[in-house]
Amino acid sequence: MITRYQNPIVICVSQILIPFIQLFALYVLFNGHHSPGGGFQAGVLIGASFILKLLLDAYNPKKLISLLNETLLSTLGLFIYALIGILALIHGADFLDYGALSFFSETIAQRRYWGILGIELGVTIVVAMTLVIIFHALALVPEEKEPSL
Amino acid sequence: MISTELINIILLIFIILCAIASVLVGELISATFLLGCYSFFLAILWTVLGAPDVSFTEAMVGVGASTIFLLLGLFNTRHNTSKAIFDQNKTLGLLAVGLLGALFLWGAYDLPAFSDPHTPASLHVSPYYLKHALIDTHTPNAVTAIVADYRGFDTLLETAVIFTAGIACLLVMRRRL
Repeated sequence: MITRYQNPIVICVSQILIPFIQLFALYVLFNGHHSPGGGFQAGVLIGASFILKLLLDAYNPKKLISLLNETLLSTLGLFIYALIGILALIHGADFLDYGALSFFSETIAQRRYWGILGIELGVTIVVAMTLVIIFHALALVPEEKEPSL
Repeated sequence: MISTELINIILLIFIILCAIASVLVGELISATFLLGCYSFFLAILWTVLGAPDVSFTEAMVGVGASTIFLLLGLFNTRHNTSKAIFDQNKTLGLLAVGLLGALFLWGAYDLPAFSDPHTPASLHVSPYYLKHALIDTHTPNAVTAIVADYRGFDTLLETAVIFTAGIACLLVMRRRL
C-alpha cells in the first residue's frame, strides 16, 4: 500500500529530523516532572517519529516491528502502570501511592519522582504503540497482499 | 508591543477562516489539510491562553496524527467531491447550523469574563491543588501532580481507553495479527 516517496530532499530532511524528534520526546518524558509535557505528549512524539520513519521507507515487512509485537509492547506499557500501583499496594499503602515505594530511594520526594516517571513511561509506551498500530491497520488494507507478520 | 487581546483576535480570525474554508473547499484532501491548519492555530491560541500542555497535545495529535489518519482513511475509501451532497437540503442545513450557532452564542453569553478570578472554577478546586500540590506530592509541576498523583487511577483508566482504541482499530481493520 505505501510506496517510497522518491524525493531526495524530503527523505534527507526527514531522516535528519527523526532522531531529534525522538530526543525531544525523551526530554518531554523525563522533564515532565518540572515542565509542561509528560507521558502522553512524549508517547505521541515517539509514535509520530515511528510513523514518519514508516512513511519514508518502502513498506518492507522484514524491517518493521510486527503488529503482534506492537500489541505486546502496548500491553507491556499498561502492565508497567498497573504494576507500580500494585507494588504500592503490596508495600501497605493505597493503590498508586508512590510514597510507599521504599525500594526506590530513602526520601519521599525521590520515591514520588521515580513512581511518577514509571507510570509516565508506561503511558508513553501505550500511546506510541497505539499510534503505530492504528497507522498499520489503516495503511495495510486486508484484501491486498497479506504478509506473514 | 502588541497586546494579548489583539493576538487572540487575529488567531481566532484565522481559526474561523480555516474552519469555513475546510467546509467550502469541497475536496476532501484539501479539507483535511485545512483542518490541520485549524488545529495549528488552535495550538498557538492555547499557548497564548497559558495552557502549554493542551497546546502540546493539540499540536501533535490535531496537526500530525489525525491528519495522517484522515489521509490514510481517504486513500482507503472511494471519495469524490462533496458538491452533490452540499446541494441537497441546503436550506435545512443552514437553518440547523444557524440554530445551533444561536444556541452556542446564547450559552456563551453567560460565561465569565476571561481571567476573572471570581469564577467557581478558580475559587473552589484550583486553589486547593495550587496550595497543597507541592507539599502533598513533592512535584513542582502542578499539572503532573494532578494527572499522575491525585488522579492516578483516572489516568490508568484513560491509558486503558487508549489501549482499547488501538486494539479496536486493529480488530475492525484486520482479520488477524
